[in-house]
Amino acid sequence: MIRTLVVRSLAVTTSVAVVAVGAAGAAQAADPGVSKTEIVIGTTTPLTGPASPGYKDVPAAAQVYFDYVNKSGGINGRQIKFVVKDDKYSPAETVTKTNELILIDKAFMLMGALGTANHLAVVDEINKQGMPDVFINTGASVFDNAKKYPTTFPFFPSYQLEAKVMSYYIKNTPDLASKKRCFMYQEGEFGENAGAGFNAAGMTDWSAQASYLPTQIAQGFGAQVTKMKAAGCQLVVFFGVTSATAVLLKTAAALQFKPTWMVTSVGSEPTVIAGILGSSATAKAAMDGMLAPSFLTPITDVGNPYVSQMKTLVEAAGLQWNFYTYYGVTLAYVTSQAIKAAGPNLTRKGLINALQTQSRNFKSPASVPMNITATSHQGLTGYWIGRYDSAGTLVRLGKPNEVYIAGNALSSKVKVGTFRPPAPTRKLLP
Amino acid sequence: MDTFVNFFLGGFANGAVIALMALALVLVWRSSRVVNFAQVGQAMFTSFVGLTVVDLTGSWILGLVIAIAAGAVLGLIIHFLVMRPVRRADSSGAIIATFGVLIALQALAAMIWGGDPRAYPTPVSYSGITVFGRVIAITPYDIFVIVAMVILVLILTIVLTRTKLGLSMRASAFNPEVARLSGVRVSRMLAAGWIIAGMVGAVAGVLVAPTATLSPNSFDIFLVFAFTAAVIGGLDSLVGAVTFGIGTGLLLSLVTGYSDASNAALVALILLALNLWFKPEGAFNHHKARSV
Amino acid sequence: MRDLMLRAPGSRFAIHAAVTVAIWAVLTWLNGSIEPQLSYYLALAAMYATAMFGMTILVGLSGQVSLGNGALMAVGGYVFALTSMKWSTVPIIGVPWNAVWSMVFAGLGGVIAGVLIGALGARLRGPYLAGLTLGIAVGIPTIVNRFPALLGGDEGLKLIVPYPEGGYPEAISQQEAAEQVPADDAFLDEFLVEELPADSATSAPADSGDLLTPEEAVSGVESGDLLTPEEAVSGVPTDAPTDAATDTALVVDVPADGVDAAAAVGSDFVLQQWQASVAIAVACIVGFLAINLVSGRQGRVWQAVRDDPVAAAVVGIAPAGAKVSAFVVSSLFAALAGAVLAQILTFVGAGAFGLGLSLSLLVGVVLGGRMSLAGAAIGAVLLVWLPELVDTVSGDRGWPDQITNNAPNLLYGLLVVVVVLLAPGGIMGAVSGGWARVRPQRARETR
Repeated sequence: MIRTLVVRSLAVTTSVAVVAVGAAGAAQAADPGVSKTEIVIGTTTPLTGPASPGYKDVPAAAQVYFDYVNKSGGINGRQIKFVVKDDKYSPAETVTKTNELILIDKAFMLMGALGTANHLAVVDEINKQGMPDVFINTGASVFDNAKKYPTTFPFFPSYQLEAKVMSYYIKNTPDLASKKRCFMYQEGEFGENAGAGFNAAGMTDWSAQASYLPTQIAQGFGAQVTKMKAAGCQLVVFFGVTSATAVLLKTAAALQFKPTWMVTSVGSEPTVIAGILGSSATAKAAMDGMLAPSFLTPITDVGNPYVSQMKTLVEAAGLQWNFYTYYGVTLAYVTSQAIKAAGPNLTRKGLINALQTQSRNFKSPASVPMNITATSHQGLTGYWIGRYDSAGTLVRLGKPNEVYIAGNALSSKVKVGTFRPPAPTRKLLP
Repeated sequence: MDTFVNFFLGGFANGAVIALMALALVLVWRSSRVVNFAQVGQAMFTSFVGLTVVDLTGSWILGLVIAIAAGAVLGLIIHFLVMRPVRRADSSGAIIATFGVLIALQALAAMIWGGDPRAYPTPVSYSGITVFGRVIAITPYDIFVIVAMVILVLILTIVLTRTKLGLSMRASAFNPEVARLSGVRVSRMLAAGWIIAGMVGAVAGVLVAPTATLSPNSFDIFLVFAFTAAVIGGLDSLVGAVTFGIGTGLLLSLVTGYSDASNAALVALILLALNLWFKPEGAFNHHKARSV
Repeated sequence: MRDLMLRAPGSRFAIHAAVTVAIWAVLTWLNGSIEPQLSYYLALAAMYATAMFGMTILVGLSGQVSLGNGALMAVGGYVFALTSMKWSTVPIIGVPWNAVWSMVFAGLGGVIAGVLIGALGARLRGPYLAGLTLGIAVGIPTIVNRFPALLGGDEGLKLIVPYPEGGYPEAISQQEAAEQVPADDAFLDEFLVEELPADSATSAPADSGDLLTPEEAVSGVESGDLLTPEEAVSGVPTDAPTDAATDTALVVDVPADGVDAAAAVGSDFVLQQWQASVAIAVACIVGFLAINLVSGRQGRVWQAVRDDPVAAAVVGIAPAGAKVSAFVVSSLFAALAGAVLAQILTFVGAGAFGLGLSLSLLVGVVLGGRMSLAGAAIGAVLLVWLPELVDTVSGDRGWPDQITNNAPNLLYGLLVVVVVLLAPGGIMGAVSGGWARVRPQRARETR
């Protein structure tokens, strides 16, 4: 019975495809989710449950920016309707919620859908629908595949690229290169992606490796710290989520383990670390000297026109100004520019065209180049390296505006240079 | 050797907390023959109550006291509103009811205190002790936790085996009909079980929160470990819960230290299976095994 | 099991067959006439029902509480994914591979897992079995992460549905996919400036008049060069952006093998309907097997052992055998449900088969009524419908995010408690006033 169903549905698929291709030249029907007055944008993200801390603020901040744009007249006369669905970080829920976004809410596009496994479960169907899937919130390199996923656009650089940048920086900084280095990572794709990047960069000679499961965060990292301390680690490269970084710093402080830390860009949010360590003073002391790559203008650089205006927006809406809200506004800002660039006759195809051809004109607080083309959908291309000072500020290292960038292929080599981001648009409107 | 000692000490402190959570499960099981999934939720909720008090008053001890009181109240509420009515249902119904309570408690905590992880302060230093010039993997706070656990187990043992309350509780758990005939107010004894378990769970929560983070879901993993320890220990046995709670902590620490984190849960599962194969009713269960 | 089927009286067998076919026909008709999103819910409910028919037998009839059936579903899901990705012909027989073979092997995997766990579980009483199965539910994701090369680790394995005939032409790992991205790094140099003057440290300056103010952050920007409300409605803004960049966007086309063809397929073929048709077919076959087992001799054997193992042994029933067989049957059903879930998610991964899924199955079967197959079906519908209900009820009412986000979970938890309280025998138990046969052993179970 199943077999006949399969055969029949395959046949149906084929014939539909033929008919549709034949009809494609004729009148273009309007895409779902866009009218003369409204654009529906959807997202899936954990708003509740263990994975929600921090990430639940990203869509909230994006909503703040869209509200601001709507009050200022919308984009090309269209108001943005932003629909946020809680998937609790469960891939099964993600499928349900994404189906709802496609079929019930009739979303025009998705923005900032979160989670690697979660998004893998829906990316095929989204692409089949021809639905723009912009600036997904995962650093897994699998999604940067313009052939396989023509509508999907990752935003921040992949974890692999980050690991390669870290390797490059360590090898070319004599101070760090001479240190006994160790690697600690979160079990699963996060750590695996990072490991692949380090391997590709030829960095395999770790004195010790330790790992943790996300569920272990509640128990502290006594065994891991003991292991790395026993191995005499002087530089610990850590790929984990921010709450794990905080617990690691806490356990390390308790056991008086004081290596140089180098922590992934997505795992070093100071306000979350301060929350877990009890006070910002404790957090500043624990983070003093910690190295971290980043791709955005430092969040504390309030003299910067991006940072000052986004902070104004976020705080006017009563949200906390932190990495997640900063990131949320950034996503919404760049997405709005892409929609504007797609012109008054907004279609899904037009939006994808705009992304592929005009990304270099988009303004954003990213301090590294944005380069989306028809063959590479990865948005940002690299990192700068910073070090936390005793005041809790991430200070850029190296020459002014020094960045480390690379193509997204695993074999692509890291290049160092300087890059200056362009000024924002007037009043941060698209 | 140094390293082994450190893995051992760190695991022991972790195990003490698992032991306390397991104790709370055993207490509920002894009184009402229900596996209380909501236990970690109750502990989480009361820890938040304690943290609120600490934030307001700055007194750690007051936070602990209020948390314990909240644990008693919460245990009583769950007993009266949920467990007493549900006793008419079967055991799987009761398990599901406690599961529903867990979900509700976690949502309620997230509503009141937000979903972001918070810090719980320590009453004594959380910094490794130096012995012969070396820092070892145990802090004054860990010692505090272990001492608190030992005291709590002693008190519980005395209360449950040497007082009228304890004896009545056991009687009503093992044979409600006979207990009722001998003048024990069975339903009060069941309530007492929930109250005491709620208090023990509250202590466990307040003790574990400072070493990592406190968030609505941060104790979830303890449900698994505490349940495992309680089951291997025999569910009825306080000694079993404590022994295997500490054993689980040691095992996790040693496996994580000597191999890696993903093996720890696997080894725990294999040991659980082996243990149940040889001791289907738990290692410390004194009741006769089934005849079939 | 097989000989029991044969022993079942022919007339009852025929009635069951007729009822099953009728249910299948109704559901198939329903699937064809509803919105795709409802078809998706139907697929989920049928998938849950498949697994929960097994739960009815295990928890209800055989009296063994399992918290690990989600893990058994993982076995089915992974076997389905692996066999369909790796094999293009059936080993030994040599015929081309297809979805039915994958389902058969998934079921086989479930049976093997059921025998292993059942042999251990048969020795255990209520909470001890719950403890063991809880360990298994938590352990499965760990095992998946242990073998990333085979099982895809955290990212899991991606399936292509509808299932192609003869297996998958290309089954590439995430790593290989990443390596296939061409290394086109020429663009990098265009961005990099050799040296910048030190005073241009972080970013370009902006005129203070161009910065938004806190007031504007709240009220939006009102100024002449923005659209008027009337213009917004008419959709023909007089001063619409017409810079060169916008025009380019409309001219440049995406690659032909990209969005166009894909969007065309998406417009008429309804994936959700196809998924529901698979899920309904499997649920009906499993339901047919289940009803015959439950109403036949084997059903009475399971209940006899549950009610009184000693008495059962006296009349010649091996209690351990009965318990293991209940486990094997429920494991088979769970594995088939897992294979269906793999096709619904178009993906298998540790995150999809976690403890949450196992608990959901138990919640569903208890809420629906653990003593009857109809209860399992009702429970399956509840599992799909309740979350949607609480989402709707607690929809956005202008409360703070902290409240709005968590309201559905609070409501769900409370609902579960309330249903257990109001209907101890589940919905089905409440409807039929309790199945008479359930009552005698209640006292014993709660001991």
